Amino acid sequence: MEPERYCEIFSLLEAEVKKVIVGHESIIRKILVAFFAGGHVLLEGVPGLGKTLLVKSLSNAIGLSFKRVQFTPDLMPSDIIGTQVLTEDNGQREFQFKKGPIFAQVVLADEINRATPKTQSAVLEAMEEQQVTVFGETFPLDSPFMVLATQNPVELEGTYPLPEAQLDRFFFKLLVSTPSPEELREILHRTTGTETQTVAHVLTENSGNAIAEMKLLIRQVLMAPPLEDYVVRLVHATQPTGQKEDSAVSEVREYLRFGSSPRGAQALILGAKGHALAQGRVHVSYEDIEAVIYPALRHRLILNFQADADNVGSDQILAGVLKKIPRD
Amino acid sequence: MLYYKRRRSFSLERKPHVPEKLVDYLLSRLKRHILWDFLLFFSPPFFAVAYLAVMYDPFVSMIQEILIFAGIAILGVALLGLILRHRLTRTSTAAAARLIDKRVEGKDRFITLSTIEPSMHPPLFITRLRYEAAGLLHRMDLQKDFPYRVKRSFFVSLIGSLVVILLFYVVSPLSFLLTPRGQVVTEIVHRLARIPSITKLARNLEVLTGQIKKDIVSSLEKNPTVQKLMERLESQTAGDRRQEGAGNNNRDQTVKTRQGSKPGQEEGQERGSGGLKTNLPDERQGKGKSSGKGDGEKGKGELSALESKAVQGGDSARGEKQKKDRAGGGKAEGAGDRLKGGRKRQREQEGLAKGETAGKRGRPKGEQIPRGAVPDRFRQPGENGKKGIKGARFVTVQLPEEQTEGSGGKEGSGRGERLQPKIPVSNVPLRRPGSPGASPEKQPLPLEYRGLIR
Repeated sequence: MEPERYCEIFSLLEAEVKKVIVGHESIIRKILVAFFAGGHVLLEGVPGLGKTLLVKSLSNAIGLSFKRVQFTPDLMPSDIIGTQVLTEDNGQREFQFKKGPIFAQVVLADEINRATPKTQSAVLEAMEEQQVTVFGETFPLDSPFMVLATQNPVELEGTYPLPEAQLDRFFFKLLVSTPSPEELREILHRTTGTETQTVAHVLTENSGNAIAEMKLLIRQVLMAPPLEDYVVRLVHATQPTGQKEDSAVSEVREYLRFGSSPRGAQALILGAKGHALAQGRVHVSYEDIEAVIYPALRHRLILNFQADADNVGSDQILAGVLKKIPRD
Repeated sequence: MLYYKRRRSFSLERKPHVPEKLVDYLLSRLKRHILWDFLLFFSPPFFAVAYLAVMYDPFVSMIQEILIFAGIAILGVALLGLILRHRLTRTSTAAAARLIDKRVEGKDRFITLSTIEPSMHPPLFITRLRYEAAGLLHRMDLQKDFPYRVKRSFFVSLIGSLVVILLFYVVSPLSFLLTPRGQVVTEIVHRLARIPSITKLARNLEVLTGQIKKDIVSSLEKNPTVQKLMERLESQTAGDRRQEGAGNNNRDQTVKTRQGSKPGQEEGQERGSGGLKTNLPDERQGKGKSSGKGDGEKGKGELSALESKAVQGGDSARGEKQKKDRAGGGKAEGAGDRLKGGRKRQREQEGLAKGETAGKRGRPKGEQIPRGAVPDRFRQPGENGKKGIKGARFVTVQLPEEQTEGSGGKEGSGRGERLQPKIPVSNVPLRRPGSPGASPEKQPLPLEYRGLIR
């Protein structure tokens, strides 16, 4: 596939999702970038912002199978993965594996932080290995596979915050913000009238192959060594320990317990490549890196109590890092 | 106009069609800029130093040397800095590419092209990127976009150099204090001599300068004179040493001769109730001197006579010879020749004396008069050192004891036989009390103290 074709498909997908979703252009683009980079996305936002609709529209546009799982405290791992069921066929009884919703290509784990850690961890293997193991038997998942999880940042009572290990498996963490007045007016106009928009399939034939080619193309995007060096310096700057006094970022030292893992650097580079290709370039620029640094690293920084007390978030710390670390 | 056209055509010729070349051109241009920066920064101080070295009062040689040294130092520092800076900028291709990207809004196309390894990436992507970058080349003109601008450092350097020159002119009157006066006068004389109207005055001054120079002897002129004097002094010292050696030999010989010839004369002295005998003749007077006291007055005058005889038999009188030696080092050899004859005779005498002593008397070694270095306990107050002391003396305490058997009858009978006092020896066994010949004391005393107590 040529870069131009990639750009064309990408633009078409964006346009189709935008038919349903008002605003959130950046989020749509980043979800698509994460999808073509082979990652999973965690969407955080208050209820009613169109998160579920966004994911559903996206899967429809791509033309992939879609399943939605509403996570609750009593949800069991078998409810997600599937279980052995005793079936009778021609007078013979046998156990047969009943696939769970995880076997879809796009899985929406709605309010993932409401499920117990046991259930949350059931999704881990699927996210990382793209396979599930039930009663010792391993079942591969369909490709492409993407988990889009949502979580509510306000109703924290009776929730189980995701462990750091699981958070690290998400390629991007996107914050869904409330729409602007213009966007809200448009939302009302579209949803309260008689006219309803439907999302058409962009990749109709042989979508699996096209997606695989697009995934490969992202990895071929050119990245200059000085830019790779810049990514390394940025990720290293998020480590609160092992830095020289003069080069350390004050916010990092003050508010962080742990910095980003190497997965963060991988996400940063792949995200930058996807972002560059989406803009029709075959090379990464500093702007691409700076565009994806927040979604790629914000959930990988583990804040300390001081940060909670001072109401300092990951984005503020990353802004400090970007300010402190020069491009050259 | 022609220059402008030529320059423009050159610029068009040089305009690269490959984006990577543009980065290389810019890099070399930036390096030239660095070179100019260095030249402009270091040239004002260098020229300032050169100006001061040439134009400043040339007769102040010290200041000139300092200025030349400063000029060389500035050149050295500039060269070193240039090399270091050049080496550091070798790795700044990325920086040059980033400048181009910034200028043409290339979104890091040039930096990517100039830093990636083309063989490691898909050719399609490389070609596309090169094509995109080439499309941006028209936005840039190296000479226009990256002209050389004189940096602030040059102005700082220029102002500093001017200040230094001004300071030198302000401080120059002080330099007369540092200059030697003779040199200043000479310089003035030379200057005056050039003016025809005061040539006479200049001549007079020159004469005066010559006189001043005669009085003032420089350290360079002093050194050879001092060296010559030192050499002379050394040669004189060496001559004295040789004389001294000859004198010592002479003295030893005299003592030996006296030992061999004076036993008869010393007998009377030794028979007396004791006294002090010294081996120190008065060298300056050329005759032996005995300090015998008490009953042995008899031998007092005879000893000097004997000594003079011994000296006559072997050598000339020592005092006279030493006087001669002191007068001139060259005469020492002659004295030595004369001594040789005396030594032969003395050896013969010694041989005779030894044979007789060994055969007839068997005199113990401890009874002989000690020779050689004088023990410290016999040194007079004020005397120095252990070795080579001229006129060192020893004293033998003569105890009024019986003479050894056999020695009395042979006194003066032959050469080398001398009257020797019985010197107590600690290993002689004491006789038991009550036995014949035992000492009357009840409590035996050590032999060493017996004679003294008696």
